[in-house]
Amino acid sequence: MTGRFPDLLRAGFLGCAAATLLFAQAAAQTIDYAALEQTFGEPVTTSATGSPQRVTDAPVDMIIITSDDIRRSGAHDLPGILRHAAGVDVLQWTNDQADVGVRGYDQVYTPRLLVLVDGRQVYADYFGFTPWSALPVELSAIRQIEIVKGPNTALFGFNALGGVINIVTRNPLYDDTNTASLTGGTQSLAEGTGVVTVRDGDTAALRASMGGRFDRDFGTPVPTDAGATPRRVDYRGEADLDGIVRLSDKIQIGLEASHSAEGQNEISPDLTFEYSTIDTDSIKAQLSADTIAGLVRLTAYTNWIDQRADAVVAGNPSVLVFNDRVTVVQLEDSLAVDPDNTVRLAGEYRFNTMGTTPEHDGTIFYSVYSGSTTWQWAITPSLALTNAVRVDDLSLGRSGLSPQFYPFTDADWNKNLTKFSYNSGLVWHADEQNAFRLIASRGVQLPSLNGLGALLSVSSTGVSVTGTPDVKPTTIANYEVGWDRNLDDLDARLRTSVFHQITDDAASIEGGALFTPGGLWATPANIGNSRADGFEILLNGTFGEGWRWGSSYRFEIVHDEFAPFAQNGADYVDYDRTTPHHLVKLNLGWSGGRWDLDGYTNYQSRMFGLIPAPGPVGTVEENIPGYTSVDARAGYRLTESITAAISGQNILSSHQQQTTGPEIERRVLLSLSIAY
Amino acid sequence: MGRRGLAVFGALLLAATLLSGTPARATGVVTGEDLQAISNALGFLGELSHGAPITVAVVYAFDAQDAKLQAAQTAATLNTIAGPNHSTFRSEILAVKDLAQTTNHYDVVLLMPSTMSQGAILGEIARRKRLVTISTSPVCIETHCCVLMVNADGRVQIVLDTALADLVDAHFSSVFEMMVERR
Repeated sequence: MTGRFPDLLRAGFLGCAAATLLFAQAAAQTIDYAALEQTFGEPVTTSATGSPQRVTDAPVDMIIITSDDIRRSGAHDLPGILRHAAGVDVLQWTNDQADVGVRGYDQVYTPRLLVLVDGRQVYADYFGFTPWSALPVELSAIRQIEIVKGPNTALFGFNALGGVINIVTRNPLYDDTNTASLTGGTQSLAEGTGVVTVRDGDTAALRASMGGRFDRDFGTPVPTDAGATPRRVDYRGEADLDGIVRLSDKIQIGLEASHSAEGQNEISPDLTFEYSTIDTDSIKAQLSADTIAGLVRLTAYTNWIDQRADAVVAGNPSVLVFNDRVTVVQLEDSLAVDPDNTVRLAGEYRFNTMGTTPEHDGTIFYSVYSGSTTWQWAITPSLALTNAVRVDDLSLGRSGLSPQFYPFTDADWNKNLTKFSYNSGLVWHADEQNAFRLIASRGVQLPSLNGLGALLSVSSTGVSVTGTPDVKPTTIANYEVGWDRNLDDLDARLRTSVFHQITDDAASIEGGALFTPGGLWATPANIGNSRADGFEILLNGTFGEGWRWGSSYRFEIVHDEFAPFAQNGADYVDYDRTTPHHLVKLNLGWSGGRWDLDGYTNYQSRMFGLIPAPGPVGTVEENIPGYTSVDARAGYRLTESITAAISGQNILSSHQQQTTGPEIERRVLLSLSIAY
Repeated sequence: MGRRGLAVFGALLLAATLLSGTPARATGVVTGEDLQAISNALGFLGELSHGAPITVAVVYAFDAQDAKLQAAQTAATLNTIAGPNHSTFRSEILAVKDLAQTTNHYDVVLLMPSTMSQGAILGEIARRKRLVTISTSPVCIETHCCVLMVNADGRVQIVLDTALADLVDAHFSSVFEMMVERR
């Protein structure tokens, strides 16, 4: 990793200096989430349109998990928090590995969810997944987690297909975050975290956060189909530095650097059990200026991610080393043009590169130039129309050596791809109590870097595996109607939505086959289309002295139209039967005196999961019965700043089948936290 | 969860929705929530000095019953509220006719609901004296006498009169302008 940071620091400072000169005519302050939330009495987001909005004005189906929700969840990791969110699917594969989906379609290493931390992508492009344990963020540093349901590619670019989760941390310039915690629990868990903020008046601030964790995997048996890799100790460590300097009342510069490392027992994309390690580094620079031309932001960041896994690829034991580097530069301007219109213009450059593995003589890369615009039109004070369009132009390439009898040459990767996406939303606040949303959107998901050729495993006797430049992006069209109602007499809020989604060109990791004199090559392939219909109901509120409650129900039916060879889960994908029809979540909590008590119940109806087929490639289905799991937390404030808490996940069952991986064990945590 | 469970869930939901009515709204009163929302909104006004006391004229209609008393109570409450950016409020009450004649400087002028019948006069005074006027009454937006209408009764509503704001040289942050209703 030597040499990573100096180049980026230099580039970041140069970029910020140039932008400072460019925006010297600036004229007011930048986004202070806390002040805006206090002013408008509800959370504020930029994840819907790129411009700041009240959540109830956002032209998307969105929920926000607040810092209070995070604290009361009792969870010590992000999937543990997200599993309580309405309409969110969480597949807990092992103690430290989980996949998170929105509106079904969840699978191992799921590629349909784009996850960001303060706008920086933490989605790993080489598999198209999110390594949750490797995210360099501590829970106490998070202001809110914004969950956008449905595609939002027009704002965030490729891969915001099924939904977007934007994790917004506290701004060190506005929020003092000083916390420390120690946690111990079952599965030999030992965890420590710390967050410190230092400030120089209101002109400069730095937040340092770090955390470390050791635990062991569940002791439940690994299914025999998943292989016999021995379990090892899970670990996670991270450090993050986030600094902001206010150059004037109108201009801020931010610099952030992070490192994380994790090792965990997990289920791999081909559904075998393995041990994997991931190291990540990132550096980000951002300039925000409130100018006469609107709110301008220039952002540049680079992510490095290295994953190493001892795996079996198409029956071949392999050491896989994925080393992905992505650099992104974004320039955006949000401007209130007149009383009725707000416009956001944005441009983005992205470069992504990765060496092939386990044959390591090649490199796959692509660059993307993007332009987008968002137009918010207040047709009347109660009726607003938002339209966003984006065009991404991608140039794909490959360099390096190829193995003998390889079915491609580097020239096969010389391709250009232009894709457009859109989001349209009509929001009507009919009166103080009722609001309606009408949404249409189109999103695009790129094949992963591995799918495009970075995964390259040669077998002299069996089936070789390679990505291919010929696999097409997956697109999704989403249409939905929503109704929100404030139930003031009950101090409650109702949110409903009915949705219809059409997925075209769904891809599988090993659905294609090419024959060369060297033998058979398995490749990814587009296997067909899928559509989903469903509705969601979310109702939550408060009552009495300190009581809070919430309930949600999602009903969803998915229908796949796959090629014959990929039907019935034979080719690593079956959205139809791996999406539960019913998802119910309930919670009840009470705060009084020094106590916080919270309970959560999740019910998921019967579904199927996938397990490896007896041969070198392919999968078969296995029944997963419906289940109910209960989580709970009791927190007691020993002093104004010190809290002791006991929490548990899946507390009613010592072990329970939730996926086709090992059964999930009950988890109980004891924690002591200090906030000062 | 079977069909029966779903039916019960749906019935409860429907009942909860139908049982909930529209609450009565209080009129003519500036509540503590309104004042807190006004204080928060002023944090996005560029002209206010950081940390300095914010001088406020609470303006009432001389001829309205209890108007002076309500203005005095509002001013007293405002003086107890923390201002934006570590500032405090220093408020005093004025009748409409006194606002036209006073030579005192006020950072902000809070128009009590009782003054809305004199909106045209107040708008003229605001433009002439370049006053940042705020009211909780939606009427002030129709009569163009307030730069900001801030009402925290239920869902917080903030309306910015962009033309009047330009005339009185009141500049709010772009973020704030994008989030409020603009007229």
